[in-house]
Amino acid sequence: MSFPFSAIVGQAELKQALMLTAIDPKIGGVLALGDRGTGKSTTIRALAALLPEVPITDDPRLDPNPPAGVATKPAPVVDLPLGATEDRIVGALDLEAALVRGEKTFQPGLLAAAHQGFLYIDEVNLLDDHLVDVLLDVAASGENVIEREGLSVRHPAQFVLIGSGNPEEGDLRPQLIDRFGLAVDVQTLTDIQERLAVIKRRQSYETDPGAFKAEWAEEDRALRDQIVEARGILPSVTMDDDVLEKAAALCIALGTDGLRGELTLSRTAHAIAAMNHETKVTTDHLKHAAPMALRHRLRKNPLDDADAGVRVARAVEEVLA
Amino acid sequence: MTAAAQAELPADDALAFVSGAADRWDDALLVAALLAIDPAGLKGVSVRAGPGPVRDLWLSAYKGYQGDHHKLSPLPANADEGRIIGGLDLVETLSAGKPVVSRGVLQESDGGTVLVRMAERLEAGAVHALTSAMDQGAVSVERDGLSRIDRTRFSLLLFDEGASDERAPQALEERLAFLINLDSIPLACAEEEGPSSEAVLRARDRLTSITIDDDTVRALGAACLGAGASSIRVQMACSRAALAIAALRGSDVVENEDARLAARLVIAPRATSLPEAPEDEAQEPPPEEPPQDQTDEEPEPFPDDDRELPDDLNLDEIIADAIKSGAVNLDLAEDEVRRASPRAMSGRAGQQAPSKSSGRPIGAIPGDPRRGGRLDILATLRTAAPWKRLRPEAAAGSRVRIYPSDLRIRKYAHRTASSVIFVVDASGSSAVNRLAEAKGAVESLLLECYARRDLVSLITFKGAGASCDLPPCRSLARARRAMAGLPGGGGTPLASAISLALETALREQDEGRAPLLVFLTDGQSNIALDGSPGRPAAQADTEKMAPLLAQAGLRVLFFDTSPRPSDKARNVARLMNATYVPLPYADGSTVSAAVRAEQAKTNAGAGR
Repeated sequence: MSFPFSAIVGQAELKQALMLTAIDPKIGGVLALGDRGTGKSTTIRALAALLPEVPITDDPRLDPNPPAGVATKPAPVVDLPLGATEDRIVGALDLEAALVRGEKTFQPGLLAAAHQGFLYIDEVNLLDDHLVDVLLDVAASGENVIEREGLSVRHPAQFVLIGSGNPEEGDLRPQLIDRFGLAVDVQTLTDIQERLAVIKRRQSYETDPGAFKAEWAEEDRALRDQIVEARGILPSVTMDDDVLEKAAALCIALGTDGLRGELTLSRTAHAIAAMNHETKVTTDHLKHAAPMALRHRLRKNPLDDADAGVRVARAVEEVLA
Repeated sequence: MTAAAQAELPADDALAFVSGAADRWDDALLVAALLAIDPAGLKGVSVRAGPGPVRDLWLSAYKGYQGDHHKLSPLPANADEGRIIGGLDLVETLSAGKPVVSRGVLQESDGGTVLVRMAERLEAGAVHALTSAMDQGAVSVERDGLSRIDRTRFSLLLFDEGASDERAPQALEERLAFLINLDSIPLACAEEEGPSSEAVLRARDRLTSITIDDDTVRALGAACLGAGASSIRVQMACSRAALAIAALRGSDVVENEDARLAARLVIAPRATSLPEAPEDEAQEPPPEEPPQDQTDEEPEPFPDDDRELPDDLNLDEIIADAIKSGAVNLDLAEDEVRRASPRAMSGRAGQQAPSKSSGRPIGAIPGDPRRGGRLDILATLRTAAPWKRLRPEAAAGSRVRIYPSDLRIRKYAHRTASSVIFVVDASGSSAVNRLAEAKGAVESLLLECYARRDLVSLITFKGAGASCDLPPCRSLARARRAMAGLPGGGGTPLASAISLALETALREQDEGRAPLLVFLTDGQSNIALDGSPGRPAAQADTEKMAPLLAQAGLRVLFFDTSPRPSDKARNVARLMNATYVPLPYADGSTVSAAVRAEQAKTNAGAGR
């Protein structure tokens, strides 16, 4: 049983980024970087309780044992442990069937399990590069293609990739960072009052998880409703050309590479508008979306560890004034 | 370094040192007792101590508090993942003809204690397995075609035996309530006994009914932030420790003295900044009780929304005192290093696991293990298994028949990672005109190293000796911070720098990486190896040390930072068998071009 999402103190930006990707998975993943002990993992794992249910597919590789008479299931949030091997991630020959029955069957991996949901990698900066490549590839294409051990299988794997890590322990390759839709800087709480709240909530959660969850169920449900509503509004959200031009000007001012930045910025702004029950994207929404959508795409001197968010904010001031 | 510092202590202080040792031993026993009282909340302890009778005594005290049926499972620091979190038991799987799961140490020690000796050698994968098991109370296994989640809760003991620059992984230490140091505690001190087992048992039963008030939690929070140990986990552990201490004392509420003791045990050993000097009574805003004679009267609690910090606890003072008295034995010189680059430096855990000399396994290919290459048993089985029914010889039994064509061998990615070791002269002579330029050059080099995923490390020398400001790592942020905080001034102990550079380079070689030494100095050595000033002795030492680099066959680049190319520098470079680059106008592009050229040679040599 995970800690309730709404009971998490602070981390406003991370929480919002997660909700936005839940509203529009096309935004494309969240990278949460920050110090140790800032509750990154707790926040991300708490997301599961907020996600609306997803339909059960008729693909036995994705839903091997569908319960009878039910059409939906909880959206999966799959944890990918650092030591996971490639065969478990993409899927491989089912060893038991092969050994016991001499059958060649496909055993789906974590990518199949994460279909229609989230795939979470803690300490993504420590994951082997070739595994990160596989993951990002599948996340981008939405399809898992297996050609190994005489198997030739393909199945849909649409999921939102969430990574967290501590930059002190090793950097992520820049070309991987920019494949994440949003990036969030998670910082240690320094407000004594907030820290007190963290400790008290943690304590009562550990004493009686069930009661604590019940206490926060109402607020979690409200957030979940907010996601569902926003999803409903999202298709009708539009963006005027002048706002679009401003988004482009912002990306040019910041020197972000390629179109990915602009696309993510616009999608994120759409999702923010939907979350606020608005059907027109305004420059305010852009301002709001810019730090998380762009901070990891600045063509930067990687030595310049001045907070990229500050640079984005500065550009926002200039361009969107 | 610590030993040397102690040797220099005058006789009077030596006595004080022994009494400090007695305090440390008492604290260590108290920690063992507290861990038995609240194992789930306190998680464990990192013990800095070499093997020896004192550590054995402490361990038996720990076991004594935990009770007779407590399971203590050793986890070798070099254990492979299969041993740690479990996996497919190959022998059983083959003889049973179906997958058989073996449990790992983490599952086996559910309800007990995992003991890691030589914790400073733990590899990144193992560290992550431990941290995620501790955070989630479960181990998730996604390997060997298995997918399972096993619940497990354990306490963790880390025995950190590292030399001065090696540390138990910080990701683990951060989750453990306590860090204790048993080094140089005389055996005589270690005969003192701690709290009685009965008291510990009683405390364990009473633990859930103990309360702690918000003001105390706030004060502990302020103390964490003040000491630079800002992780919320530390504060959480400190609260839990205070509760356990109160329980042990037989009280129902956490009193100030409990909080103080908890702060000394939990926060002080992690302090990276000395809290405000407590000497000056007048500076303390509220003239509250001094720490020594605590009266147990609680101050009027602040209203909940009052943001004023309750500093009447004088926790900062406790921490500062603990550091000064040596009870925590925080070596301030070490602290400097730590501040420049937080303790994640811990040898290997901080960075990606070093590639084994054989490289990183990237899959399996058909091949014959007799002609070199390691058999990949699983992959071989996977290949053979589907043919089971079609291979008549095996039809009778349940065994899988393996044909030579099924054999798979592991494929490794052979890539020798480069490790660039910068040795930067920060002495007075250099500082005046060249240090800033050298910094600039190093920064632009760092950029390139970053792009190539090389490891970088930084050695600087000035004053009496050389120091490793940044052990080999891939983190650019840390490298940059180490550079930025680099002060200049003092003599030029070039010989010491060469010695430290040699040591670092050889260690990198042992790790299977290709070191490249980059010196930035004017070669004007004036401090000898033993730290004494004097140009002739210093020159002689330098000339003695420099050829050692050549003998070790190390690649060295020597940038002469003196205003005009000097014979002295050229001579040192020649002795090192270094590529000599005069740098009358130090500029980043010259430096990086030279390093690139040198690395091309290195890589050609290593057969990348």
